[in-house]
Amino acid sequence: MEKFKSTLKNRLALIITFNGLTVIFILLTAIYSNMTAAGSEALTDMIRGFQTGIFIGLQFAMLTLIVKYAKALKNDEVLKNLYIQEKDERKKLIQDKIGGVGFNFTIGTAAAATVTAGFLNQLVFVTLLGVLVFMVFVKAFLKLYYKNKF
Amino acid sequence: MLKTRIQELRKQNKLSQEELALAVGVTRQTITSIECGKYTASLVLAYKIAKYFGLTIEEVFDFSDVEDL
Repeated sequence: MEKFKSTLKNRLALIITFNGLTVIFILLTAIYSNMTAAGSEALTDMIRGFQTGIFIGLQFAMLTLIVKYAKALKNDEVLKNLYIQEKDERKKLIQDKIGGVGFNFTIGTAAAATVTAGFLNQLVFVTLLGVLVFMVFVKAFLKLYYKNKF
Repeated sequence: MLKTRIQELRKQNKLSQEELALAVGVTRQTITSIECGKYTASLVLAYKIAKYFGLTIEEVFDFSDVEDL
């Protein structure tokens, strides 16, 4: 369990660093919001909303993780539960069946590309957003399917 | 999928799924899935469950269907 504890400490440090970066990105998107791709006014507003929203969403997700890991590091029972949740073999099987690691990486890349496209071209932004939404739905569907199957 | 005696053994030992899951280091959902026959436990998990009840793997898991193949 000591090894898992040190893994959590490393993750916590990484998340806190990334959290700081996200705050900077939120500020940058707010400052450079007038630089979004030219075109339809409604789409420009949507792009700004998406760019800020995705970073605020990330911020919330990371804060949740920080609280979760900090609690686990203070309480051995919570730590054991978290360890079980992460190492559970059925969950790992489902993750493998979905291709979870690859999926998460692709979704992350698509999200980053969508945010970047928002500054360059509205058509590319909408296309990438469609791809991103489709991928998220496929992953959610597969997860539900395999959770029900196993 | 393998048939098991886990539910029967749990009831004999007045043990909840949650307690067994915690003892063998998996989630409650995994124990539920094994009992329902939806999921086949790995060799390591089968060993842990059998050891927990003080039995052999063959006494907890029914391999008759596998032997027929």
